[in-house]
Amino acid sequence: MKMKQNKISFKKLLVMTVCVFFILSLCSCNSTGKYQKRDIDQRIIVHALGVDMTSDGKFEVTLQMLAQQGSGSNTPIDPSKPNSASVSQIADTIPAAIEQCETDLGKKAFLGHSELILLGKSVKDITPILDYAINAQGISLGTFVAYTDITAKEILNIKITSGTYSAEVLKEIFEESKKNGTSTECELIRHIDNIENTNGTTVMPIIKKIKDNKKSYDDKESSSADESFGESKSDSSKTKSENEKVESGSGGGSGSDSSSKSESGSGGGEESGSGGGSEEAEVTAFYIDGAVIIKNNKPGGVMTRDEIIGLSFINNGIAEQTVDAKLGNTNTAVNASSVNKKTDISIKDNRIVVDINLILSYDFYKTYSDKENKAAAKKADEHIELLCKKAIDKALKKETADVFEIHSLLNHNDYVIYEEYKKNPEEILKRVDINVNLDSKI
Amino acid sequence: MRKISFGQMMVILFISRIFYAMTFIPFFYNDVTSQVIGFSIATALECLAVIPVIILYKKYPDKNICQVAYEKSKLLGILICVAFAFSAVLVVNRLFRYFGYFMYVTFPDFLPTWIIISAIALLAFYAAFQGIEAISRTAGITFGFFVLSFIIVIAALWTKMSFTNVIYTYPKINDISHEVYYEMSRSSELLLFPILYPYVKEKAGKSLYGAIALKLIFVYLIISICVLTLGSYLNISKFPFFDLGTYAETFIIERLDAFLLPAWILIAFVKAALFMFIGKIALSTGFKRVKSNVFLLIILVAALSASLAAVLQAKWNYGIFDKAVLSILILVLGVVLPLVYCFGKGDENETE
Repeated sequence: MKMKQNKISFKKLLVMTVCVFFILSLCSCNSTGKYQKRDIDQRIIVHALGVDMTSDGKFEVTLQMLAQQGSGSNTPIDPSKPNSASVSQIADTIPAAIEQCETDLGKKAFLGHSELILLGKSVKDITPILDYAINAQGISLGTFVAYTDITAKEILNIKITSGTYSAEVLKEIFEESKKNGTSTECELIRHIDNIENTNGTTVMPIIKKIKDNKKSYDDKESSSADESFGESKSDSSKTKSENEKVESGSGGGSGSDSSSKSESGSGGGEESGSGGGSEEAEVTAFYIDGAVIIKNNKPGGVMTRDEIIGLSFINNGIAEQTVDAKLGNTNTAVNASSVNKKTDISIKDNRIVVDINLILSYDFYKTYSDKENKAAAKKADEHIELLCKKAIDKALKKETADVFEIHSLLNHNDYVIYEEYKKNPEEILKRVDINVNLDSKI
Repeated sequence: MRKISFGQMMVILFISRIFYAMTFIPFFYNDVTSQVIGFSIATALECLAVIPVIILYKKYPDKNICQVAYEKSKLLGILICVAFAFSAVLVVNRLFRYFGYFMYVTFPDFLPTWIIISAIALLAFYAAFQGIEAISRTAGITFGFFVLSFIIVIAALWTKMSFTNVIYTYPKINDISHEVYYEMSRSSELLLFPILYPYVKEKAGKSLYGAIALKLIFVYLIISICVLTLGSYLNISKFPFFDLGTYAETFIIERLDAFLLPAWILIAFVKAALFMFIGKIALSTGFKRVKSNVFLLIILVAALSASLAAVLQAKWNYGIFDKAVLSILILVLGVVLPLVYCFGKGDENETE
């Protein structure tokens, strides 16, 4: 009996040994090609992906990555020194450009940790970029997608003086801006969702760089709503000339259209990207200023910062926004946050009337009497109503863009109109009136 | 014969079904409303379809359906045993192809698909060789891991869910009927139960209904979370449930797909082991002179070689075998056959 049990145990052990042996030998059959195993130092950990268009319709892709050679003073331990590097390449398609970047560095790009996809002003159509982002292996659905009013390459080449790399800082800026309503939802999945539902409409925040404090205010004042995106003439020619310059400086190498490499704080590669060395020295940070409305997958009108705040209030996305409220001759600030949103939809005289009741909560920085609080709240209400009106006028009346989740409202409330909307969204949007009513709680 | 508990049986049946729910629900081809309705109808039909096999279990609590058939007619019994083994090979083959496709799409540079499938097949072979007790224990751990990763992902996505992401669609009869058909072809637990019920200590019938209820809850949960979080991205997503993992993040971990992947691998492995095991049991009932482990080896070779042949040609889907043939086999072996044998006199020691 015992012998039999021993025999069975031995048999099981034998089968297990054979199975383990086979599995281990199978897993070591990874040999070469795309299955070649790579150590962490043989990979480019990409933090941000920048895309610009050249004047001849090619893609210039910039990858911002962690500087592999960064050790000692180049690591985040010393935050005064940047820890990022970037590489750019031009090709007919985005994957081809990335592949050329990989060839240049002799390493495989890993996009799984990328936090930002930045589109340059020259990008006329976001379809190929979103297609790439959806189908590329590993890109997270939570990656931020935004526009810039210059080239993506310039922004990604900025040498920041705080934090580790610009993509990380930008992510923090986005998160903070989303809370106070100065930026809309800009995650990749939200853009895809909006575009799928609204025949190619979404809103992407615009990142601008601050050259120096004085200039930043000038920039803000001059950020006109008629700024046009998707024009590649000046930018691309500038980029090309820069690239050509860098290529000759770096000794060529890849045989591609053009290439440039900049590795901050490493001494390797050549400083490139942001339109000349002296200007780059002035750059300290970047900020989010307004957003570009994408319609039919193409960039269109620009919404200002105020309009975006109004839009965020309407879409119930404000966690904390400081609103100016004037009490007599003194200026005071009211901290407003969205509590709830109730929406009604009705048809009146062939018009689709959307009544939005926003419940807001106000906090005051200073202790006032009840009367003064009410007066300040009234002022804040007026201010917010104005912001909402601005947003409606720009996005709905001027651009006829569905950025107020009208598709979702129609789908949930009136399926017949929703069916019409799916066929011809512009016609339906022209018939929409949005009324915003505020119910503020002190 | 070593027996397993009611809970273990329920988990085994649930695991055998949840792989397809994780991989293909919601399926981007059909609209979600039709899928929910279709799935609900299919589940209701399934609840009716299991009645004969539960009656059979009450009549013959210690004999699986192959033994019952073999005792009634030797030739027919052998045919039924072979049919069960063939179904098991088909299910394992389909599982390997789908799992290979999942790995090929989500981790294309990791390892060649044929290696991944071969490794899982060998592991499953070893588990099937160890017997139902080992499989059920592994299934228990797998279930625990699946639930844990599911809870973590839901918690991480809680703030990202919104009703504005929900887009209702009018259900279409065509889509609903397709969904019912797909669901029935995926209900492979109907093949498992008639072979496995003698291994359950008690309440085997309730374990089957428990598994169906668990499946229903988890599928509704998966669909709800996907719709509330991913919105219309579902129209283009190949693996929505896995995409939830790539989107979810916590303070410490940037993306949670790493939590879901082990659950996927474990579930595929347990399911493969289960079907190899029932194939072995079926064949050893029909051919008593041959050692049962020889049949296990035959099933492994048949399922793996067919899968590798398909995977190496990147053919992930065989509509006829995956849906039509398997649907017929599930219907005949899991419903009609128990219905035939549930009439007449059974064994004396009835349970429940």
